[in-house]
This record gives sequence, C-alpha cells and structure tokens, in this order.
Amino acid sequence: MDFSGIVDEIITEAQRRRDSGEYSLDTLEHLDAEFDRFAPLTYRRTGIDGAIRAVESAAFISVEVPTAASRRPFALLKEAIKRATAWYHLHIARQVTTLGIQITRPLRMLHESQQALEARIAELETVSGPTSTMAATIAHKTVPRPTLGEEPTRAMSEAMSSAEGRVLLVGVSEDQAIAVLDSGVNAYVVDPFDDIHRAEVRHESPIAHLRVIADDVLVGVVLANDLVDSSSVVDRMSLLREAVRCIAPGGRLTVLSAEPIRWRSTADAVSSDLLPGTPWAPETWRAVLDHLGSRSETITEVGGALVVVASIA
Amino acid sequence: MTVVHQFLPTLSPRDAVGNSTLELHRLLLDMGHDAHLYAANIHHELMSVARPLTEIPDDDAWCIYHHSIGGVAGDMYESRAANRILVYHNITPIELLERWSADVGAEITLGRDQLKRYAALTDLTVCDSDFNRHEVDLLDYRNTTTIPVLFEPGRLRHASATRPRGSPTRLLFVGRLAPNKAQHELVAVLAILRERYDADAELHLVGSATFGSYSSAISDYIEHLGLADAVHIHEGLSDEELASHYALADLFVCVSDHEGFCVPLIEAMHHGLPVVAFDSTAVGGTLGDAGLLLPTKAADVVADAIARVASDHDLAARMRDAGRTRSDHFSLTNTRAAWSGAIENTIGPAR
Repeated sequence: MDFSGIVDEIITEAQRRRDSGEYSLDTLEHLDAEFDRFAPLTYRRTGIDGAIRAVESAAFISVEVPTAASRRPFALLKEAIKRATAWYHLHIARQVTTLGIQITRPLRMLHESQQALEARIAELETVSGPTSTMAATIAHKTVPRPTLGEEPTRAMSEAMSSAEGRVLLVGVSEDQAIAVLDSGVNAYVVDPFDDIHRAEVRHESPIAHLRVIADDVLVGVVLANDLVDSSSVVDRMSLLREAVRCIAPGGRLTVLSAEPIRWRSTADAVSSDLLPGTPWAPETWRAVLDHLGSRSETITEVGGALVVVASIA
Repeated sequence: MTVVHQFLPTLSPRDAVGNSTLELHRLLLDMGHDAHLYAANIHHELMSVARPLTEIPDDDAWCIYHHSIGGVAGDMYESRAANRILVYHNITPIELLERWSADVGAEITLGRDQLKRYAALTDLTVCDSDFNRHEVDLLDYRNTTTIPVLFEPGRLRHASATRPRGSPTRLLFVGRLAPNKAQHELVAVLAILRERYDADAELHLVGSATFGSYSSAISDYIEHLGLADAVHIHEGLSDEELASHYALADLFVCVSDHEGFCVPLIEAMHHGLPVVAFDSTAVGGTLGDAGLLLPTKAADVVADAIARVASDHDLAARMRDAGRTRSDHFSLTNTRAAWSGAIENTIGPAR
C-alpha cells in the first residue's frame, strides 16, 4: 500500500494554508519558544548570546493565564478569576520583567566586552602570530645551527659538574648533552625539534615545560645556542625568568651563547633579516641577570662563544 | 554443546533491547547451545535468568554483545580473545541529549568510541535496522547483516477495551520520555489539533521518565498550554495496561528525532492502529509503506495528517490493513529464522 500520494496532498494543503495566512508560522515558532522557556539553558547549543536571549525571553512574564478546562463551567470560572486578578498579575509581571532586564543588561555588556577582546586577539594572531612564526621557521630551516667547538662545550660541562641534583638542558645539541652527562651531571633535555635521542628527552616547548615546574626544584639550568641567540627579547626574558624561578637557591644558570660581534660579522642575510633576536653582549647578560636576582655572574669568552654562569640567590 | 556467552550493559524486562536479548537466549537454548546470559545491571525480576558481568569465564567461547551505550560491558567484549558477535542497537547522538543531562555525554562518547574500535575484532555484526547497519558499514565493519529486533508483535494481550462512539480523538505514543523521542512536539501537535480540528482531542504518552529535566519541562509546558486535562502520561504500566492503550487509541503518532528501530510502531500496527510518523533515522525502515510517513514534523502538518486520518474512515481502514500486514513481517517466527541462520553460519550447529 502506498500512502505517499496522501502525504503529498497533506503537505500541499498545509503549504497553501500557510501561504494564504490561514496557518501562521508565528504560532509554530511561539510553541517552540514556549517550550524553550522550560528547557535548561546550554551555552554549547546556543552560545552566550542565545543563553542571554533565553533569560530575557523567560523574564517576560505573560499574564495570559490558560483558562482551558474539560468542562465549560470550569473554563468560565477560570476566565472570571483571570479577569478579576489581571491588575495584580500585571503588577507582579512588570516587576519580574524589570528584574530580568536589570540582570541581563550587565550580562550583555560583559558579552560585548568579551567579543571585543576575542576580535582583538584574533586580529593580533592574524597580524603577528603567523608572520613571526613563519619568519622564525624560515630562518630555522635556512640557517645552519651554529657548531661551537669543543672548548665552549667543555667550559659549560665544567660549570655544571659540581651540581648535585637535577639539571635541565635546553637548546643544547646532542653532543653537548652527552658531554654534560659524561661529566656525571644528573641532566635531562627539553628538545622541541626531536633532534636528540641519546639522552633523557622531553619533546616539548621549553617555556611550556618550565612553566609547569615547581619553584626551586632544579639545581641548574643550561640554556644554549640559537634557542637563546635568535629568540626575541620577550621570549628570552620569559625563558630566563622561568629558569631562575625553578632553580633552588645556590644553584646555577649557565648560558652558552655566540659571541655577538663575531656572530654579526659572520651572520648571513637570512638570519639578519628574519630572526627575531641576536646574541647579547656580556654587559647585557650581566644587567639582565642582576635584574633577575642573580648573586654573581661569571662571563667568559671561549672559542667564539660566551659562557655565562650565574649563581642564583 | 557450543558455549555462548551473551551480555549487555543493562537487562530490563520492559525494554526492546532487554526483551530481544531474552528472546535470543531462548533461541540459543532451543538450538541446543550451552547459552549463558550476563549483564552489568540486572533488573530484580531477571536475577534468576542472568548473572553479573564479572562472572563471564575467561575462555574462548563465542560471545554475543549488545551495544547501545558505552561502559564496562564493551570493555569486556574487547578483552575477549576471539569469537565475537556484536548486536548493534544504535546510540542516540549526543547533540539530542546533552542539553538535558550533564552525565550522559560521557557514556555516549565512550560508546561511539568503542564502536569504532570493535570493527577489526568482530566476526559478525547484527543490526536491528538498515539505518544501524549503514552506520557500522561506514566504520568498515565486515560481515554485517540486518535482523529486526526479536519480539512477538502479538505478545500483548488485553481485556476487551471499548470506547463510546463519538469519543474525542485519542492519540498514542509509546516510548521512554526522552528528548530524542520529542514528546514535547507531540504536545504542540495536540495544541494545534485542538485549536483547528478537535477541541477535545487527547494525547496519551506511555513510557518511563529517563531524563528528569525533560520530564519536568514537558509537565510545565503542558500546564502552561492549558493541556493538563488533555495530555496523559503513563509510567510503569503492565503489559495488559499497555495493550489496553493500543486498543483504545485512534492513532499512533511518532515525531522522534532518533530511533534505532522503534518496536512500538510495530506493536501499534499489530493492534490495528493507523500510524502517522516523521521520517527520521530507522522509523521509515520499520514503518515501510504501511503508514503516513511525513518528511517534516512541523506541528501544523502533523496535525493536518492526524485530522485527515481521523476524518477519512476509508483511509484509516486501509492503513490498519497495511499495518497488520507490515507487522507480520516482523513476527517472531521470521526473526528467529533469520537469527538461526546467522548463528549457524557463524558459530555452526550446536555440538
């Protein structure tokens, strides 16, 4: 049996009645909206804007009390009570509606403020985020990582060799990590580029790793190579601040950096143009570390590199 | 005898999955298999039939798992060494329920995740409907088949129930009070039907409340629309009482957004009720061409369809005949034969 013809007739007739105005879509929407008044709010479904609108809608109190009843006398009685008490219901309804508006107005202001912030963040991400990330990526791919000789590596290892406790190595090469480990230091490496495999390694962002470490739990941190030399001032300061925070009093922060004058004389065009930062001079290191609370600093130039060792107070 | 362990998250006496599982258990025993039934949650009436899930032996016997929600029963299925049969009853999409219950989302997400993982380790997948089968086919399940829910459409018996001539139109829907079954939209349909066609029409909703917030919202909505005298919600009915509702109703109306099979559609057709239903998920496949299958559930269209059937006695009679024929297709004899074939082909005959 095929009833699809009947279904078509019903759909066509309903559409005709809607088009003629006999059936009002407002009635259907009104029924949906009425049910929504009793349904729980959900941000995921409607967004904050929709949730606020639902509060506004619920705050509008209708004084049209239903008077339908299965028996006509009851319906008439309900209608009479409704009319007799309409002034009272109207008075209460106005106050509730006013309360609702007073509640939703600051919510709307907060929502608008949040939207403005989101738009601003998106704008900043569009303008600066991808651009700086792209430039750094190009530079990282194009510029060969500096190969410091054995001397700076040996100096760095010696600076950490007396450490008794956990030492974090950031930005070191695999050979440098092995040299530190061979000197008997209990060290592990954070390597965001998956370059190191012969040591205990965490493959994640150095700053993200440092941020989750508790205060004063490391006896030393080594920051090395282009992770330090080519990072922006903001990123480098954040990295130093977090490293100092994690080092216990009496511990050491060691930085292995290219000597700036030599770096500038040998830097290629891509590095000079695209890298967000360049190596700092010894005076800069001293000033920054003093600012971060270093008790004393030893800065030595070894084989074209600066080895900066700071005692943390 | 071949040992077969059948298990599921919850075994209840009055739901489609529970009844189907019990029928399959009887079939396995009738076929001569050494069948055992386990569940994570067992209704007190069925304590003597099933054992706790934790008692499933760690052996290489065949297992049949009924998947309808995420949980430990699924983990048990995954941990079996081999010989797995999955019965997929479908999982309600989270979008339809998350608004109403904060905790159901995790079980649904887990259930969907588990379903993806079972594709590679399942020997046979039996789906209640082609709609369910389509879902598992998309997940690269191999060896899938459709066998309707095992139940006897004529199992419900009732004392003779009659209504006086000229009684108002009486609409019926049977199913858990749940957002995916959209009973609130049936209330809206009734409001329009009463306004335009039959001021005394009634709606009877039979089913237990499974979402407290949804049940409360429906009650408030009914009260708000002034329909408290016209909408009747019945919970915890016996089979006889349910059968009486089928006998007394004029029409069965379904506007569910999600059904994996919808047993009440077949029960309604078996009891001679014309069916008006919204064509969603498995509803069209179960109803076939035996009722008015609407492409929309706009309340005015559904109300028009109900009014048409209520006023056109010839149409109603043809729908009743078509419905009875359709329900015969789902008879227990037919579904047991289909299951017997599937079991013999996969497990083999009982040894």
